Amino acid sequence: MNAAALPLPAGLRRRPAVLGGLALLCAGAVVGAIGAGAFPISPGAVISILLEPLGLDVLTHRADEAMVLWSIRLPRVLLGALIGGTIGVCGALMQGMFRNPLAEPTLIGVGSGAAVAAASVIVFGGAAFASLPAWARELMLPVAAFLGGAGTVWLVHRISLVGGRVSVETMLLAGVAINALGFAAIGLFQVVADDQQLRGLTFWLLGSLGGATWSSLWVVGPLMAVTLVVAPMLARALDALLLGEAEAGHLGVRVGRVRAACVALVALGVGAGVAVAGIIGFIGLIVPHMIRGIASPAHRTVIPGSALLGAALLVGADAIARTVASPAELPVGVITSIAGAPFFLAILLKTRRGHA
Amino acid sequence: MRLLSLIIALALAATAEAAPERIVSLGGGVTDTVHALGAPIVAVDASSPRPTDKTPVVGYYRQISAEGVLALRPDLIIGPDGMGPPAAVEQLRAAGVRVVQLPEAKSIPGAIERIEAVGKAVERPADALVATLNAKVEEARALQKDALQNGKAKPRVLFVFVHGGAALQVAGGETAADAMIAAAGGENAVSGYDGYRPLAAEALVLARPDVVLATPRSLAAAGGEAGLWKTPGMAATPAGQKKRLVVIDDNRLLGFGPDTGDAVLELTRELHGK
Repeated sequence: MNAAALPLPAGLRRRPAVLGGLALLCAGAVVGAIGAGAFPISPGAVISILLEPLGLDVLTHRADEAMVLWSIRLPRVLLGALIGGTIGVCGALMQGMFRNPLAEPTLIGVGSGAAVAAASVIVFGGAAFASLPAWARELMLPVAAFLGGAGTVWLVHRISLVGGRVSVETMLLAGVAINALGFAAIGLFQVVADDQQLRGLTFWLLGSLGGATWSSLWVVGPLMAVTLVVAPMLARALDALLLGEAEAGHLGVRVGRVRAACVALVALGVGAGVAVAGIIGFIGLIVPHMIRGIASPAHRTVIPGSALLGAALLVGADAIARTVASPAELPVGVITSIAGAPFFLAILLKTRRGHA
Repeated sequence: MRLLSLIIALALAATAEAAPERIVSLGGGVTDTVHALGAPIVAVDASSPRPTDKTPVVGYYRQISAEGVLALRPDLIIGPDGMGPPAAVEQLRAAGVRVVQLPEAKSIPGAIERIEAVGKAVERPADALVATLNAKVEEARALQKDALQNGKAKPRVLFVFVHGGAALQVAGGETAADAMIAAAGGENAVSGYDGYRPLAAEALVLARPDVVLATPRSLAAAGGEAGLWKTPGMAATPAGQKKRLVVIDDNRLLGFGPDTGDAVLELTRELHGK
């Protein structure tokens, strides 16, 4: 397992170059995605619209172009970058914490927990919350998804506490069991759902950034920002953990606390992301692998690198989802999985050959 | 005289300006109506019949993309009140496009109301469509009255949905199929629950349908008529023994669009005619 290797000095020396390159890639993806869409807006008009609030009136644009860019495309691209970055970081945290390159956020139930909560709102919420005002009904789905995701992670974490210490094996297995239970519950919801609820359910399970608005960005952005800001602080502890639990303890790392912090950050970040965009697969799994492949397994590189690459990949995938079937759109989770699965297999084969 | 012609010209110009010229129509029932009224459609959703092979499809009406729809530069977006996601509908309104959301039609009076509402939104007279629909429904009622004289029981009708390989889904109460069966003078063979549910073989026998009602798509999924009769339990029902099957197109039977009158009459003739 390559994760067991020590941080390579050569990789660390390449760190500024790698992170700089990824930052450029991320910026490029964001700029490209802002320029791309079903509604044709010329680059000149895009620049003009973006400079307008600064009082600069250099180029011309039409009012409808400004409306599409400001209230549809821009919040969506920014939300995509934020969610992609957060999922990437959470993947890195999970793989570091479990010392297992197959770990990803959904493994500990954050996805299925959120999905069960969201599905119950989609199927039963219409009747149960009919008396609430419209804005409250709209908030029910993301709030329920967030609570469901975070609550499930907490449950899995509790189950795996053995004598005050987290048992990694128990946590993985508990995650598997809770996921199975969650998907059984979703299956049950699908049986009782009517046609329209089923459509809502399917699109939510496949993930989409189509609901992005400035208000959804303001609601979940701060939660994901906490994960993005705090995660790099765990980098040294996770590096020490790569050496083994006992060794990390000898180095002064409080392993239990680091694990609890990882779980909390993942529940917060992924729970918030899933709440507005549904389940977006594979980014959390492959992005940390890619960073380890091009740079080093040191978490000082892997965590910020995963944030930048995750953001770039999700923004790019969403640009494809928005434009490829125009004027309709595809669920972005389908794009990330179509692109991610073969890529992951390629990494696996390459790693195996490396060991042979 | 000159003043009068000026007023007429102005009035004509005003209506011509107000009538929408680029309509994005969502939902099968609404689109059928917009099309039947001859209004100009630039795009439809996945549940709607396309007016031409080149008409763009904007996805399913509950999952439209605001930017994709705006790129078609519509001046009217019309569809069921379930259109969404809500954020996209809000964005379309914010972009200054007229959005008309109509309640789902679930009965014949509902169908008439919706035809009138669509007519108003696209600014085309809907009287002729409504009159035709009413006339057909009246004709069907007369047929039913004749057929059900002397206290004859209404035929028990089972509406089935078949999706590839899975169990039969049948229509309970509060469904479009239930309303159409009632309008055609039949009795829904399934009572006791609302919506579409899978029906176990034994429950199918208990339902004792005289007639099975299906759509062409369901029949194809069931492997044709022969396949449908082989459904477990079917052979023990009156419908299975007499092989009484009625097939009517999905949109016509369940859409509550402008063809509703036709569908009611057709179903009435099948149930009571012979």
